Amino acid sequence: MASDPLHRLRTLAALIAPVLLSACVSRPPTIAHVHLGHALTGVHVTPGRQGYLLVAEKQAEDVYALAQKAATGTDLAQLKADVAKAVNATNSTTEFGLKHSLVMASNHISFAATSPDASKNVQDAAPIFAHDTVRVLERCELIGLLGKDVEASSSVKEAQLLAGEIENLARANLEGEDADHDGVVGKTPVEFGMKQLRAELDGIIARENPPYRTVDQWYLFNLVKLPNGVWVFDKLGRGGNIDGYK
Amino acid sequence: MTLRRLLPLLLLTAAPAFAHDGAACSTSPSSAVVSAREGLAKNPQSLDALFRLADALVESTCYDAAVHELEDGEEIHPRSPELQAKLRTTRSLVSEESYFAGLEQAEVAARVSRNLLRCSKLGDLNACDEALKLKPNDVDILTAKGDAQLAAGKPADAEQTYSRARQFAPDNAKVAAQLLTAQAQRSAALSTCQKGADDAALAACQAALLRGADDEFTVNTRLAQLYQQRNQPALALTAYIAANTLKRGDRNVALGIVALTESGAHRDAVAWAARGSALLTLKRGTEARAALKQALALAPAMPDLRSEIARAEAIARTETKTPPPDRGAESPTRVAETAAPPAKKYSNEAAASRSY
Repeated sequence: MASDPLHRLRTLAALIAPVLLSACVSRPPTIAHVHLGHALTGVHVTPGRQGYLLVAEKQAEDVYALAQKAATGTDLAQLKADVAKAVNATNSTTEFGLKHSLVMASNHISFAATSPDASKNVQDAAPIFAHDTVRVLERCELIGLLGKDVEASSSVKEAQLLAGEIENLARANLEGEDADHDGVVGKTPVEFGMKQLRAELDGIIARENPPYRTVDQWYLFNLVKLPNGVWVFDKLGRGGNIDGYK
Repeated sequence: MTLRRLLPLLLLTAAPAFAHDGAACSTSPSSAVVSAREGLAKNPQSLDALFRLADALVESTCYDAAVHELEDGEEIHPRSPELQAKLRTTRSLVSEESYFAGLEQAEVAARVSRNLLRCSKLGDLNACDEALKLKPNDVDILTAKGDAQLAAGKPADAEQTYSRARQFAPDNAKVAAQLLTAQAQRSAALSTCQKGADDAALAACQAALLRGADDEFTVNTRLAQLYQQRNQPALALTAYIAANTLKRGDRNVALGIVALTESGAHRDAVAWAARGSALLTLKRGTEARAALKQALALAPAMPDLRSEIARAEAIARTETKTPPPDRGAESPTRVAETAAPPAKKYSNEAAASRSY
């Protein structure tokens, strides 16, 4: 009966089934890694569903470009408009400005650290990362204050000077700065910009064991918190319920 | 919007909303902590009792103490996943507390940076003062303020500010150099103040006036004369009173004060006391006694009045019975009822230029 086609098909199915299963069914990511994925890869509430850190990096680039334009402006009204846009891209909450996006990224790394399956690496690194964001947030605050001064200014010269300072701050937020003039940009946390924070987060990811792998969107968008505080994946796929973050 | 408001997401699973109200852990435990601690003492093996104590400590924002209690509990419950979860959350509150402190410092630092920038690059003296409110001994801010004062033509103020900066940074070369610049500019202003009589001289005197300096009396006297020449009696009287406070017994200052207070327009306690003191200098004891008594009536706590009245009475006893020409101060009329005579040319104006 070895030549029975049905039997041969069964035998073939029995042989390839484990292969197919291993290819199609992978273990879900850890809750901690999904939280990290919200910072790194994607979260459904941001523009373009990008991860918070990606949004923060993009906003930092936009702020710098706008500040550069403003600093070379000679028309006071246009200069003020460019600075207002730069301030908005820095500090807007509703439009995920740099500050808000970075805080959210830091928060989600903290969520990762408090997850039951968090590695010691993440538990140890999360508070350090949060601390290291403070200098960028301080520059964001200062950009907001100087933006108000530009708005109130009636002098092109004064507004240009302030816009130039905003440009310096925006560049530092993007690339870091050399505050102690030792020739090295971004050497210590007080000199950090987004570039150094990205490197720090990449370092956290690289140290993960088991290794961090890019989290599938389904997991990213379907992590929910139950009333008892436990994080689970919403298997019913009700979609993007992240009440736990609110 | 404060940064703190941007961070509600750090309120983790078991963290109560009031964990971030900024209140520090009190040294005297709350009743909830006391009660929970008693409960744990009665039943040290109880995980629930341990959690109640940890929660009570967290509610009191005593995060470190909560972590310590939970870590002590690990010895009794070494494999409890609930305890490990609680520890993770509570430890995150400790780091979160430090994070919030960092953010608050960042807000303060941003305000200082903004004010320092406006102070140093725009010469905004209000911004300098705002920055110094937050960091009163900061040499950079003090130096920036001194620079702004120099740029604003206030060398005396700048000298004072640089001197303060030097107290905190005696080896700072920039502060030392700027102090010398300020002193040189003040010296030039003093020269203009003493020689001229025009508006530039008045501005120079204002710029050169330095509290506590050896020449403060001289500059105040000169300022008073220049104000008097411009028919600005209130400012002139203020400057004369300042000079008289610094050095009693100067005849020209006394003449100025008496002339300016004869009108009756500036007869508050300070003006009465100054008039009395000036009349004492001029050896007009009866009038001095009357003026000083008016000052005493208005401000009984004003220092030196009683001793000056005694001196005035002593001089008055030696005076002739003939009343002096100025009867204003002798009048029993109450201060509020004194009518102000019309503006007049002051009898001491000719003496103004002789003060130097």
